[in-house]
Amino acid sequence: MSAVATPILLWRTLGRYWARTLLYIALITISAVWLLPLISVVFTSLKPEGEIYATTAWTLPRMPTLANFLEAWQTVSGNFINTVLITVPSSLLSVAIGSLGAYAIARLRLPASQLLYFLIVASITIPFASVIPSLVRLLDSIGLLNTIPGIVLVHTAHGQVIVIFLLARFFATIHEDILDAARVDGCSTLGIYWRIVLPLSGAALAATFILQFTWIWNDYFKALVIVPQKANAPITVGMTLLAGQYAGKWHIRSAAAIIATLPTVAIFLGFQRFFIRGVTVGAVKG
Amino acid sequence: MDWYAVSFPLVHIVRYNVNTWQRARPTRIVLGYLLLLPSVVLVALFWWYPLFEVLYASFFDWDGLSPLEHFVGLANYRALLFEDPYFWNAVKNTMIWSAMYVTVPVIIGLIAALMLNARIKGENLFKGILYLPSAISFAVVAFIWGWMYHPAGGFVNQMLRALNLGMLAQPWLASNVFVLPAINVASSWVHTGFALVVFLAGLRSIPDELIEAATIDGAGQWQVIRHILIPLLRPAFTVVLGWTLMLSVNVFDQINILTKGGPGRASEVLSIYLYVKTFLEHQAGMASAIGIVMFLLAAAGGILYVRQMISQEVTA
Repeated sequence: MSAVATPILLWRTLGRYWARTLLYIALITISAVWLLPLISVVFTSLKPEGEIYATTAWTLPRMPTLANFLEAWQTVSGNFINTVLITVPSSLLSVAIGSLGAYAIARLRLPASQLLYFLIVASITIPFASVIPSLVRLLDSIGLLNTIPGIVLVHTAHGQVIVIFLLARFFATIHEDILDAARVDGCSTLGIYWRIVLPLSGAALAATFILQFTWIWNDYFKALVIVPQKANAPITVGMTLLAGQYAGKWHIRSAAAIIATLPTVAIFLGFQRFFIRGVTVGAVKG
Repeated sequence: MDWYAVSFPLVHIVRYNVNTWQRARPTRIVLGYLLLLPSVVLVALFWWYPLFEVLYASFFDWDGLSPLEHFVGLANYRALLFEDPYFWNAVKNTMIWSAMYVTVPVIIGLIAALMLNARIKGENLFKGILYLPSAISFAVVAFIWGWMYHPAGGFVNQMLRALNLGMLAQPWLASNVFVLPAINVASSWVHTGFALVVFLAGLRSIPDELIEAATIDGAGQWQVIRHILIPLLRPAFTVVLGWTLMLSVNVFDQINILTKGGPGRASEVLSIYLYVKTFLEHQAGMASAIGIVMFLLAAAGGILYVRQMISQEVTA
């Protein structure tokens, strides 16, 4: 743990006291800058129309009101529900299907499994934009363009890449002795997946699910291509459709933006460790 | 965009002696492929097949709706490369975008990681604040920054005026010069957190003893940076730069929402141009050729990332 790296370098030059003070000043400044855009939008969402241009973006609302949220909700609630209808099945399905594939790759010693693993993981380099012309035609030909099942299918399919990458990696770390013991006790291959591997992988499954959920909830591009019409669009697309109708009404649109992002921000605040601690997968060892 | 951020520890993979079970048993292998089949079919149907079809369609004059009939060979590529100034404009804008994206958030993230590595109080709070934008949809990020850059009511111009720098106030998103940097600031606001957490994890993986020993042996601080920190941070750099390059080729959401490629074509990147060609100009054959160019650019950065990420095998 190289906690000393930075201190040694800084302490030497500046002395412990000044180094620490300087660090705090720098970190507090950068954090403040990072929070300003959010503060500006939260304040705007609480201001009545008359205050938006009359006050600066960083002044507290004089007469805070939740009326903006009410109006925003009435306009975007349908799209919010679409987002839920898209995100919940997509993230559940992609983790469920992907965990089976990951188990096969990581534990069943299939011929060519490493090649398949590489081909699946390497698909992450394909830009979504690159496949649009063909994907639209494909979905259209099976009657799923402009439908929620259509986008659920695409999210589930595209989700395989990351679910398999993360879960295969994790399943491979489960100690063989445990699986051997189960095998000796007569547990079948599927029984081992269900009774041993899944229960041992609770944290990894939860993390993968949370990441899929956030990723799909926040998607804009795929939805714009596959379900662009207001009736089926998720809230990310629905929000942008407000721009014309509510041109200049930044207080209402701010409220809609907060409604759109509240669930993922809440998940982030609740599970920060899940999000942050392990970005290291693959990033640390050479 | 942060699904790779997961909280399980990096445990090295246990290799185990081959016992009788592990020698190929037909039923196990058949079952294994059956379990893997749904995933492979889904990826093949919605990633590989469309990519190949796009490659095929890029040799056709095609409107995106009718069957592929008018084979034109390399004409689409020829038109793009030699006759279409808008294509080169989009390439240029994508390059500018990539150049900004692999520097600004990466440098800020690295500096913040070096600062947080000192194990000060409130580390998680600072980390959380810088990483928080990653949980927000780019559709919302674009809205937030559209409001920040609003010529009259927006934070940026109001702050400039409050600081008596009103002459610097701009209609940021309507300016040919400032539009790309301005949107890039919004994206960097999101992406810095990613660079920060990866670099911090990389720094934390460097053993203290290494640095202490070098210091005792008389290494100066630049020697420590040059010969210990930078080489050992290499995997972190590969992941951050590979991933960032790949993302930068993909950029679409923020630009489409804020400017749709405007003013004029000042912020039109490849993905926007492809979208316009497909849905507004109905030149899907041409769009397919752009898609192949994008894939090649993205794969260049992406393969660095993938190689690093799968450098550990996943077979038990």
